Amino acid sequence: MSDLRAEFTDAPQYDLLLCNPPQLAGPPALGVARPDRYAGPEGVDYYTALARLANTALKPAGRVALMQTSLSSFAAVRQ
Amino acid sequence: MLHPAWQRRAYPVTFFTTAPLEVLQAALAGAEAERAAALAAEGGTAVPVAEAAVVPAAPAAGVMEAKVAAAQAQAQAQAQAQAAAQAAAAAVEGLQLGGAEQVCALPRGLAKSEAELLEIESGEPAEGELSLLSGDTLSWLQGAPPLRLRTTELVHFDPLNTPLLGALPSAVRPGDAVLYPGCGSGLLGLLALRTGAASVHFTDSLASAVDLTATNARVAGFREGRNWTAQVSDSLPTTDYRLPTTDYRLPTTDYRLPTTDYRLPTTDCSLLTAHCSLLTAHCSLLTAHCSLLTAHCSLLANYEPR
Repeated sequence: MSDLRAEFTDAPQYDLLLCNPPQLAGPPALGVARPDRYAGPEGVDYYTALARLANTALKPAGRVALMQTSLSSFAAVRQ
Repeated sequence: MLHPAWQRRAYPVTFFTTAPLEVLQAALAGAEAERAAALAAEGGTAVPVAEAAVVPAAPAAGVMEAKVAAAQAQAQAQAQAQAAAQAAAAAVEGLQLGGAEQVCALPRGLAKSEAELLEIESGEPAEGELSLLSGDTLSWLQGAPPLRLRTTELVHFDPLNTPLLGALPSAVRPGDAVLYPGCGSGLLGLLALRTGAASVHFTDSLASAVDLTATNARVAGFREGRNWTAQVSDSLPTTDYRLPTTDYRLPTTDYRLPTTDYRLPTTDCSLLTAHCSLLTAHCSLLTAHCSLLTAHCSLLANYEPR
């Protein structure tokens, strides 16, 4: 088991960050029932993490491909 | 249900609703009628859109009536909005994302696995397998060998995300090095390799998902180490946020909680009273502690690095 952060301490090395992120919003208890889909009260926790990951893992002009559904808050994701 | 983008196509749904079962069934029947009409216009044969597998909660008597009326009004308004959206979509044909034939089947009963959720019209659905063989959205895959993936109950691909598969050819460029966190069964990464990516690094917090991805990648014929690597990561990528360090120090206080060497008296009431006084004094000191800590918190909250 390794921390994902540890993989990206070197120079950015990826062209594309591809993800089908968990984005189920709701109370924390939902995370116990569906840890594979839960992403915090607004469903955006994974997006926040992905944004930071993109900064460290992607080369300049790198791209991100993901999909957002109405399970998560669009306003919160934009923010 | 009609897909919000595809409009006239059905897609699998799970209903999280407080609407009464009758309202839900009426909405499904409406969608079914619309789809049947659309298919009839195309010269096709109508098939049932859905079987509602609903476990309705017992409504409190009398309480639901207003909700029923509201839900019915809402359903009617939604139907009107949907009809308008359909008309708009029909007017702008270019906005249609394509058919949903590759994920057309709705779960009959309570679906438990991806394979039960997905059914391929052009092929036989296999237990525990997801096959992507055809469909307008995945037309770019046609002519290529079918990609067969093992899936498990813990590793899903939500059919709602099928448009992401359709978007892969434009997202992936030849020679790309791809990072794919939350890889699950590896579906998107393997398709990225199909569309010309040079390599994919798969990660997932579930060891079983990483194993599954590795198996699927090997079965698909991609070379480990060269085309792909897979690794378990503990959790979501977390932030390295730290509290700003400063030269600020917590004010040290020279007071101490009074230590008492008294023992609980077993008989004497006057001693108990004395105990109570001591405990009250303790409480006062603890309250003072709390005030100090609150003041500390305020200082930290308002702190600005110099």
